[in-house]
Amino acid sequence: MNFKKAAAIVTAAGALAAISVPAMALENEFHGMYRLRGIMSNFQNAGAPAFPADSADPKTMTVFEQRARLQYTAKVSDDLKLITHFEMDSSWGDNGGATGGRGLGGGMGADSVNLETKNVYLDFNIPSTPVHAKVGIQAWSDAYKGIFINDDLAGAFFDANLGGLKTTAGFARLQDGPSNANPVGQKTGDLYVLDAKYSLTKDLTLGGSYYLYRNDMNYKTSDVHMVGLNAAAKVGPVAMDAFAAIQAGEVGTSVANKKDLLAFAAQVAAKATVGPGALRASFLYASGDNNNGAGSKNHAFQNPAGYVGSSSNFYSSNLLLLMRSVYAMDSDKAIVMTTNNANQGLMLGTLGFDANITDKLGASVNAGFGLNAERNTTTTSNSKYMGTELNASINYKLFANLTATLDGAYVILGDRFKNTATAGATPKDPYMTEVMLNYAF
Amino acid sequence: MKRWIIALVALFSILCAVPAFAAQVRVFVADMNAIGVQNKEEMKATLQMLLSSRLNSDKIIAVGSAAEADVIVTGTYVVIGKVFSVDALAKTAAGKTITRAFVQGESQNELIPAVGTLADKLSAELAKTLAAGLPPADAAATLSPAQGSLSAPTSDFIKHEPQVRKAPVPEFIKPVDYERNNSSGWQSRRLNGAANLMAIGRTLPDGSREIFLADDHNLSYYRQGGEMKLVAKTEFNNSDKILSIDTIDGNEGSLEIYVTIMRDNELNSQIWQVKGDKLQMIAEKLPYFFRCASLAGGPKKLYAQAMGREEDFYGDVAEATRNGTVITLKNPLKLPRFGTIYNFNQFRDQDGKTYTLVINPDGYLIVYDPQLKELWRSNDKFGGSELFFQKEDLVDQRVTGDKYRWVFMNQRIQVTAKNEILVGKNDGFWVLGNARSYKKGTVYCFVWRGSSLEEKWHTRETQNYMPDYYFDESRNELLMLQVVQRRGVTTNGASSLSIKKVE
Repeated sequence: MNFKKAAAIVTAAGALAAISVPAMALENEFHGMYRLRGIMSNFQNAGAPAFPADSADPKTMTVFEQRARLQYTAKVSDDLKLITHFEMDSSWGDNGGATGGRGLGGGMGADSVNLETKNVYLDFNIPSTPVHAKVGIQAWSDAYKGIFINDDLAGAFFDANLGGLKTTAGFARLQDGPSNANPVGQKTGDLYVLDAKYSLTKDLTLGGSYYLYRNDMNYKTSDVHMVGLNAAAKVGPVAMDAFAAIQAGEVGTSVANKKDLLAFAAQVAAKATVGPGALRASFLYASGDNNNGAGSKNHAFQNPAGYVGSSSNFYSSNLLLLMRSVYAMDSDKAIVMTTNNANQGLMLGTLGFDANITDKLGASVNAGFGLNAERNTTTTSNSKYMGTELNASINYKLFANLTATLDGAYVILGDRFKNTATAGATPKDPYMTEVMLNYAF
Repeated sequence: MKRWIIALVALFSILCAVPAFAAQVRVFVADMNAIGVQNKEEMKATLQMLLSSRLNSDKIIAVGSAAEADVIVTGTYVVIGKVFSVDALAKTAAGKTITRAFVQGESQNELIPAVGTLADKLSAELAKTLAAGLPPADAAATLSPAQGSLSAPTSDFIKHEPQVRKAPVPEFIKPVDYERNNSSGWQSRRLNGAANLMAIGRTLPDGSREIFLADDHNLSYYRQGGEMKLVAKTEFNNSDKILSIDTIDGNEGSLEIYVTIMRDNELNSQIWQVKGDKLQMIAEKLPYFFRCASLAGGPKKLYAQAMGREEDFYGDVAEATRNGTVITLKNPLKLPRFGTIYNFNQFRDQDGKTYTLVINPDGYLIVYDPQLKELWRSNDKFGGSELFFQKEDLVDQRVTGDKYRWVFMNQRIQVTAKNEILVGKNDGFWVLGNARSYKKGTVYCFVWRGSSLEEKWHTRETQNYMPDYYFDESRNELLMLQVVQRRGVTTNGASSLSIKKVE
């Protein structure tokens, strides 16, 4: 029997086996959300340029933006499902009709082609093994609250629960150049992931990771090796978590200018029930580089950047202007957009309190201060102190799934931004008030 | 060869000689006519149900459809002035008259005993007929055991029944006015607050029963006699959400109420006791989910499970004992896939093997063998609860837009001493992702037939969401909690409790 015949027989047998699989009931599962923000601010909108260039004398503006997401899961069995996730974003008054597009369609007439495919992936268990796989374009976050990567990635991730130990191995292709529109698989940006998390007791979890971000777009320009440890514990009434991560390797935008990398980040956070609510506090440090990456070594904590804005965040800060807010949509603008922070690094302290006033009414207050970890050529002032944000919100549950929120935030800018706006002016303190409706199901 | 044939014929003759009446006669009570009464439809259904249940005996089995029956009983209920008469006619399935009987009475109070008398008369006549053998046309329907072993009753094969069989129609499905005939059921008045949970306490010397109801932030202590009387109520912190309430007799002989509470993403459970007419907390800040259950119909025990830093339910479910304010865990149970403290129970088969039963996240009822391998799963969905807790999930927050993941509780699975399995089921008009709004509830009773669960009965659907139920085995009564008005912006909603005698 030659190889072709054998292959034909195997193919035919496979096809027969495939069509012999008994018809299975398909479970259809839907989730989704709708969010509307009505913003009045001198800072937050979807326009360019970024802070602080446009903030010498910003006028108060009103922006309305909305986002709907629909998630459909086709569940064939307990062990196999296809997950799809779509998004429609618009700012009221942007563009409509044929002039619309991704993130648009809120102009008069609407009717824009603006459906975005956010995630499409298979989620399945490999038979006779404890291995669970997620293969395709999916959401992924590091084990460090997103300060390295928290974004949608195309990749394959495999995890296994072995008693209290959860291990994950994965690969994601972040870029394929040089044009990206026509992938050739030679000049790529890839992410390799090894994660482990072990629950020692119900009150103590320890984890460790190794990530490699290899930017081969210009033939091995960057190899960011990241090793981290993380822990979460509950001691008495206090829930705590902490992590530390070191990055080493080489970074640069070309072979000629690549530098040795040695950077680190660390965070501690605590939360405790106090009176009618919960008190939160956290401190994050991410190293910066005083040569802005131009010296012999780069000490700035690295975050790969995606095609759509920043791919890292620290949403647990609960800040609205100083750090990226999880509720931001098209107007995703913050004073610190990444923990790399233009190679300046970051020192961030936060304190917050969430209160349940009644069954439906809640309130939250937060304060946070931010400093550059290092001054460098991007820092056009003599100070590292970026500012302190104060924010407060009141939310009311109209229904179990629909919450109306009124919030306001104000940043007292630090000397880091003194005389840094257009024509050497000092930017005005950013502020924002908003009414937000959040529906999630 | 001839000797073999003779021997076989002789054996066949012996088998044929086994008396036909060794099997029960299957009787179906068809529609009863009602003349001269108000609420005709309700009265018809009531009489049908009453006569069916009273005909049931060791010789007669009331079945749910004419197709299954050897004998079909029809009847008429006539009221003239205060006097009434109930006349019944029993026919074979082929339509041949077997017997007639009637009873009379002079007031409505005599109706229920009169139906009993009528059933006795019919039973006696049917027994006589059986002893003499059913008319030829029907003889085949009453199989001898030997024949039965070869040829199963026709209905098992003709009816295209789903794997989970439907209950006989007259016993539980048809609306029966329990309030008007309070020998069969009871319905509370409107109770303030949309309760999520229910637990049953002791029966007091005056015959009343202790009942505990809880909504998100309140625990209420009622005594159910003729009415539901609110005895005590305790209100919890707004940050507290009650996820379960269960009762068990404590070490000191008093009743203990285990209240599972989630507060700011952490378990913060409490234990309460009834002291006279008051509720008194005896332990708090307990980091456990609690459930009191009779696994495999055994004695009621307290079980606990912890929550992890990341896991919603951490580790094994274990037996729990209280010593002062300290909870001690022992005898951990290994649960199958999907099993948590709130969605499982166990039952035993005739050989004493223990099986585990779980409602999976999609609502399917799954039976696992003693080695925890899946044996069977239902085609229909069961369970369903609007009660949930939230756990902070910052990883998915960017995608879902929600800071929390929602973890829904489920309907309890109860197993009786006879190893009958009770499961609640809610159906809804709008159940989509985390948006749940159930409209109707039912309780199903199953028995394990060696290869699958077979339905024994189910209650008719409630007209409202049924957040919880409990089968009081000592009284053979099923208690069904209903939310008759949901919570709204300006209202805390309302509940009601119905109690049905399981016959």
